[in-house]
Amino acid sequence: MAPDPEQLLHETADGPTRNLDTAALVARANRGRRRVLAAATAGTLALLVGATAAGFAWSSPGRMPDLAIDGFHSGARAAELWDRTFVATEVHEDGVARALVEGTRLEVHFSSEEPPVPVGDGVDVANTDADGIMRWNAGCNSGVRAIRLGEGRIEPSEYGYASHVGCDPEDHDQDRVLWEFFHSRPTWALADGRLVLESSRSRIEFEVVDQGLWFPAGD
Amino acid sequence: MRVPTRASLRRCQHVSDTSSEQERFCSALWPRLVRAMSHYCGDVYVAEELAQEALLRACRRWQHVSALDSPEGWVYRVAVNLANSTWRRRRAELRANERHGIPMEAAPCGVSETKLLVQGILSQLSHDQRAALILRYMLGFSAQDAADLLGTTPGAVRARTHRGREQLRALSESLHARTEESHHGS
Repeated sequence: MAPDPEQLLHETADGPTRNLDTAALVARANRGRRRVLAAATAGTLALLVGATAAGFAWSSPGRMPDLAIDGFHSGARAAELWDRTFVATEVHEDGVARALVEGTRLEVHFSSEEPPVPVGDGVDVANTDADGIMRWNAGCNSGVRAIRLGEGRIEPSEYGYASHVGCDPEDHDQDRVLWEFFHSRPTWALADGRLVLESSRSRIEFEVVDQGLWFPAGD
Repeated sequence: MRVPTRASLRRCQHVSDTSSEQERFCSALWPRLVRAMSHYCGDVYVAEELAQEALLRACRRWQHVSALDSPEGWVYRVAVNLANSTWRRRRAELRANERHGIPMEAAPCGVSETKLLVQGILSQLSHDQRAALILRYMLGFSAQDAADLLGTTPGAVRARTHRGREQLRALSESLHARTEESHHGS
């Protein structure tokens, strides 16, 4: 009797030519995660040290509290960034405050959804390179980019697109500047609901908003 | 000497348990995934690179992946995604070449005729048809589970597997007939 198609597939499939070093693979996979955990632990310790120092200072007049929180890596707070919308309050370029085009507002939303990548024929599969999706709008066009939040930087992934709505030239220029900024692997830091993104040339400060104009809650 | 606290011991235990769980998962899936991907991309060395990368990503997102109904399906989906991405596939090919030090052209040497014929059939299928066929008939997923993974309906999965399955069945029958003939002839 002829073998069925399943059997034929199994019989003709090539098995591995080598063993997988699972211990090395798991160690490699967990290396990044442990760095974040270590940063979180360092941050917590730093806060505890700071709090203790502050408490000591209260009982010892004349001594300044030493709030050594420099070690508090922003990566440890990534969870606080996801599924929130931020609106820009200050934009600095080369150290000089830059005004947004009149009537525009810069919003950025971090979505923890798994970024899809279309692979043709209507099938989407997950892009597991990324931690989530960043969306932004500066008053005219919107940009979308899959990102990772490792090492205190926003690392753009390969998946992304932007709308191409016709706008005034100054709006287009603002879009372009922001596109370049978000693709320049800016550092990020979050404290007290304020988000600071910084590249070699620019620094943008945001505040968290419950309800975005472009990205309403739950969007 | 510092005495470890109960909490730190629990944390170490947790990390160690998770690592063992990840290692068991990877060891169990490795041969199945390589076999499935070797049919998907037609080259076992590239399949190994893709499978390794997909397993690495599963371990990186272990909390998410281990909670899924089908962690195996997730890994397969990632491996297919990697295979479909041209530059990643090219990188996997280069790594495979480097690791094994053999030109890709040498791969067909020593391959049985049956395998070449099966590969010929699979290579004529679209990515979607091949992915569905392997999910259903190599990894043993139901039409519903395969549909969930591929983001389509069970009916579409059946349609996608139909052509490949019929061609494989025809090949199997023709090979069987030829074997019978040669037995009778000898």
